[in-house]
Amino acid sequence: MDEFGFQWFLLPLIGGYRFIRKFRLYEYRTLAESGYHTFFQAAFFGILLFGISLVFTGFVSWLFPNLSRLWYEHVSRVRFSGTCMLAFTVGVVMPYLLNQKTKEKHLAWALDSFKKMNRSLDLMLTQAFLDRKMVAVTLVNDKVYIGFPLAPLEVEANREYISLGLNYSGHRDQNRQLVIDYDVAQETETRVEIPLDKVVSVSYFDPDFYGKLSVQQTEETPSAPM
Amino acid sequence: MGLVAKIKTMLEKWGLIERSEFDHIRTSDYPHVHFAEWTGQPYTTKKEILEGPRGAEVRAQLERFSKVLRDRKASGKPLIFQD
Repeated sequence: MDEFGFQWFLLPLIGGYRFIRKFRLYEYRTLAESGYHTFFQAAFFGILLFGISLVFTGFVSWLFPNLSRLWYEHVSRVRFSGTCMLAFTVGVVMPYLLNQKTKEKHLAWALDSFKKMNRSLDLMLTQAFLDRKMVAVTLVNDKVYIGFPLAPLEVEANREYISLGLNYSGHRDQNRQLVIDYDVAQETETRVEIPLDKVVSVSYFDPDFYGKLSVQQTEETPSAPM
Repeated sequence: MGLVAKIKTMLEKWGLIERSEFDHIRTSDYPHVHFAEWTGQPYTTKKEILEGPRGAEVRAQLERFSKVLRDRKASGKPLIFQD
């Protein structure tokens, strides 16, 4: 009599997890979300992979009964073991093939994931680095970093970081005005990682706008009385 | 229209999937953006921004602002910017 090994059914589940973890359409959301949501998502795709594999193995067994017998005699006597193994293999291999075919959509999918997860800071940073715009990041200690965002928020050990290609830095004075006193704009290797929990605000920084504003302010400033 | 596009239009029409506002974005339009192998997260580097296709324009913009800073410093004016 055939055995029925439930442990084999872990394979489609792992295949489902590998699929959502490595296929770019779901990858960012899988990383950002965790716990039960990821488990049920992996289970859903595991069942889907199992179903597809079942159709395939059923067809192959019908077409080549010897192949099916070979598996039964030499690999495993457990029912659906071949189907489970195939589901796992498809779950592991398929994302790489799909990623190759869908390269043009990867950026749109990442942005769509941020939008759906209400990650507005991610969206802002991503749009800034797509358009090569700068942002000014003010920290709790009044330090200000100005540069190109090099990625959406980076998550490392549950702590989120803003990664900046640094161009200028400075501080907020006692009137909360921006003082820029450090310039590394022409250096290519200047990079700073800022923990999000130390950030007070993030805003776009247009150097041309601030440059013009600076000239206007200088012209409007009345000269000191003699 | 390809088969995939037809199915997608049909699913959108039936309200089963939503049209994304980012659908028009093509990855190849942003050659300075890469994807991390392990996390899939998009990233770039400052070097690629400064030396990429629009690098000259970006460097010129930075140079203009750096000049403002240098001029202010040289004339003894405060480096304060209203924002």
